Amino acid sequence: MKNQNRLLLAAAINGLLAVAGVDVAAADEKDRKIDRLEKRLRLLEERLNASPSLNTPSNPGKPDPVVQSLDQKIKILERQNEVSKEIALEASKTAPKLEVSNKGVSFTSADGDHSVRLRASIQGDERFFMDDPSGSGNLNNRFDLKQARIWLEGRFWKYNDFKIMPDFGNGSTILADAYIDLHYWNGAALNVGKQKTPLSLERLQGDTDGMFVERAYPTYLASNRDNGIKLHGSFGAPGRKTEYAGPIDFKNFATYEVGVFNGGGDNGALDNYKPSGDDKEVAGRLWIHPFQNSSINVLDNLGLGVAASYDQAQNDAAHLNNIKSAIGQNTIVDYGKLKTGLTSIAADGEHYRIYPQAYWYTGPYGLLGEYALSSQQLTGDAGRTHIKQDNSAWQIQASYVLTGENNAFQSVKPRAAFNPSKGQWGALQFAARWSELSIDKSTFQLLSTSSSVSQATAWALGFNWYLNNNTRLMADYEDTRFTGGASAAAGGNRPEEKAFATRLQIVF
Amino acid sequence: MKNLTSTLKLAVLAVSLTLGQSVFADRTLLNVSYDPTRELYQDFNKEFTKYWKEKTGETVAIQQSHGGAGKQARAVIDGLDADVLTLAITYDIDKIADKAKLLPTDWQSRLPNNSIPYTSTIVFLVRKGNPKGIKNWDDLVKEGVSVVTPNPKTSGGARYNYLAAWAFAEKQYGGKEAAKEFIKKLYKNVPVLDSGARGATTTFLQRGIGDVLLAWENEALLAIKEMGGDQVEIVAPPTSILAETPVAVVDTVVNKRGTKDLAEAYLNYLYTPAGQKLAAKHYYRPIEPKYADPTDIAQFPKLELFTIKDRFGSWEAVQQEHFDDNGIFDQIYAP
Repeated sequence: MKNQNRLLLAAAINGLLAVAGVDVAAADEKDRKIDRLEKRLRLLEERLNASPSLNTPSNPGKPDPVVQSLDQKIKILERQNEVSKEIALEASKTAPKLEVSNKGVSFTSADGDHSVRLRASIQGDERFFMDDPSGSGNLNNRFDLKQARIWLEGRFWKYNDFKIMPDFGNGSTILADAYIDLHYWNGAALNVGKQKTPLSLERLQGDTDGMFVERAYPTYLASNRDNGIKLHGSFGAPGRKTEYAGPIDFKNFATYEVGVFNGGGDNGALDNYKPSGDDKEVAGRLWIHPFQNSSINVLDNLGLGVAASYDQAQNDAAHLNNIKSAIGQNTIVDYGKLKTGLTSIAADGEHYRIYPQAYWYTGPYGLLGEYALSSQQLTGDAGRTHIKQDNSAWQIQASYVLTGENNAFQSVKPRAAFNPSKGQWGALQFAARWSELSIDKSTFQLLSTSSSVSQATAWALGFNWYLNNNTRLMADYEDTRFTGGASAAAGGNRPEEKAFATRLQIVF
Repeated sequence: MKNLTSTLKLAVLAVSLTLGQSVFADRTLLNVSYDPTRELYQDFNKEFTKYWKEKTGETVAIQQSHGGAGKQARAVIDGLDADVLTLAITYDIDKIADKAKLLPTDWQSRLPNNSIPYTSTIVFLVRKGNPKGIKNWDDLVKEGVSVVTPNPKTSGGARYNYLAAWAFAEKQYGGKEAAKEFIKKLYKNVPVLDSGARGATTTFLQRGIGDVLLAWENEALLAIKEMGGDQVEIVAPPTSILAETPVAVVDTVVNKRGTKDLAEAYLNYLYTPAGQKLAAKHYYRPIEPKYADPTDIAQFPKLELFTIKDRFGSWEAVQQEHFDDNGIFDQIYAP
């Protein structure tokens, strides 16, 4: 009886062991099997100890061979598991990492020195105009594919970063960014290629991070993306480490950027600008978070800066780019529509810009403001007319995150992604802004007053629904009033523009 | 708890001393070695730094890195800045010379005895009383005998184990096919393949797995010393392999780091009476036994030893035939 019971129990455990031996690859499954086997073994031992009939050893003083054999098998399984884990751990130290997450797809070498990341963004826009007049003043409602970008960014040898970003939006293909950033020293890094010129604060904000579907007027006096070379550096707060945060850095205590670019003029050089002369634009920017890591927490994310640029255009017509209304995106300053009798216009001479700028984010509140002065020399009428044009613009915008998340210059991160079945609604943000553009009166010695405005004043309200860290629904309304820009017969002033726009965007 | 606290204090003290040595050292030297040499080089480094200080007045710190010999060689090829190599087999240093060009291919001619300051061999470590009656290599393939040996693809010691068994079978049963069959049977009796010799020792001693551990002689003697001899015992087979464990200076690294004189002196010190005595104390067979303590020498069992060159020609040939991908080991071993 004793031997029969033992054999039965041993057979049961051996059966389990046989099953356990089949799949040695799945470590977790193996752990569970080992646990089960150990429990069974303990049970067996308890039964043997509890039963006087079973507990009378046939060979006292000698370990039971059945129990010994089972004990060995369990130990072997445990050790195999340990060794498998050691091997897996060793392999993980040298194996490259593939990561698929809401930040895209990335491949990183085991030592972290080399990486490549695939990213993309899509912005699908709709805009329509209310109360716009019929006839020639009619503003067309439309759908736009504002952005359709797919890009690669990465790093080689720890300090050599790159980004290459084409944009297929709105039916054309442009190369938005393509640069190399060598950052061996945080205080002095070198960026070469196509990049954002360091001027307007809102331009330097990520294209998918803004509070409104379109940037305000100060941005329209700044250069756009341009080919050039830029030296930039970052510095941590006193006593704090500096961390590399890319060629446009809003994270460290203080940063500088200074570069030389082709110089495409105000609102220019998005893609195809070809410099007509040897003149180049020098642009630079200083930025500081004066209270970062100080005892005044509420001012921790207050940023102050100033940017400026200088170039000497040489009879360069391509330097002059039309300016559009902000959210409406209708042309309001048209360098192609000249005063009657004139046939040409070009930038010719000194051109400088000054951009004081600031933001402040604390808790759910956010404020951003900047002023722009762009002063340039224009020539027209075959060189007979030469004017100095001082255009200016400013904006202030305020925002509030209704759901309580921290407001941020670089996009709000919802506490919980939108999921109605769990009662999660993402993050909601409300924003308002005031923005103005003033075109120098002397401009109208050359430009047609009926085609270009001398003043645009706009207020806008915006609502952003961050479904998650990647997807955002935006709805904006902007009311813009103009001075000039229409014929005398039409009253002299362009009609008030009431634009309503929505956007669904996804970015990773 | 008290023991744990004391251990932690000792650990902190040891780390502090090591860091302190490194921080205050004029120069440092990295010795990349294989698994079981930890204790030997801990002692040797102390003696050498003392000797060097007395000779030159310079304070130096020696850092050690240990692991499976194959893995260590790969780490050096991949960029680990080793000033000196003290590995288990010459083939691993040859690979570093051939593939990474970190030292000349004739590196073995630069130090006495083909750059081999001490040797070892492979013995059996069995449970006390040798319950399975294991005496020779053919006992390892018997049914019911559980053999512990590491993976020969990652461990130098395991390659010696494998080759000693192969050489026995080839001679005993005649021919390669018989040896292949013998090795196949042997590895059927191996329940766990650790990546290094130290891991295999853990499997056998700490985890209590197996009836016999194929072990470096020095590792087996160390185990007897540490476990008191009442749990395991050494069985010396009549024949085994002479494990020639080479040392070399890594020219590219020492030239870059300015440690050439120090590295050369370090390895030459292994050949001095003090170095030879220390090797024997840590159960390695010194090439000059006359410098060692006779009681240390007396511990080494007497057995017939053959070399790789005697039986297999060269390490390169052995590696290609047995341990490279799709070699004999890959053909006969199924986990």
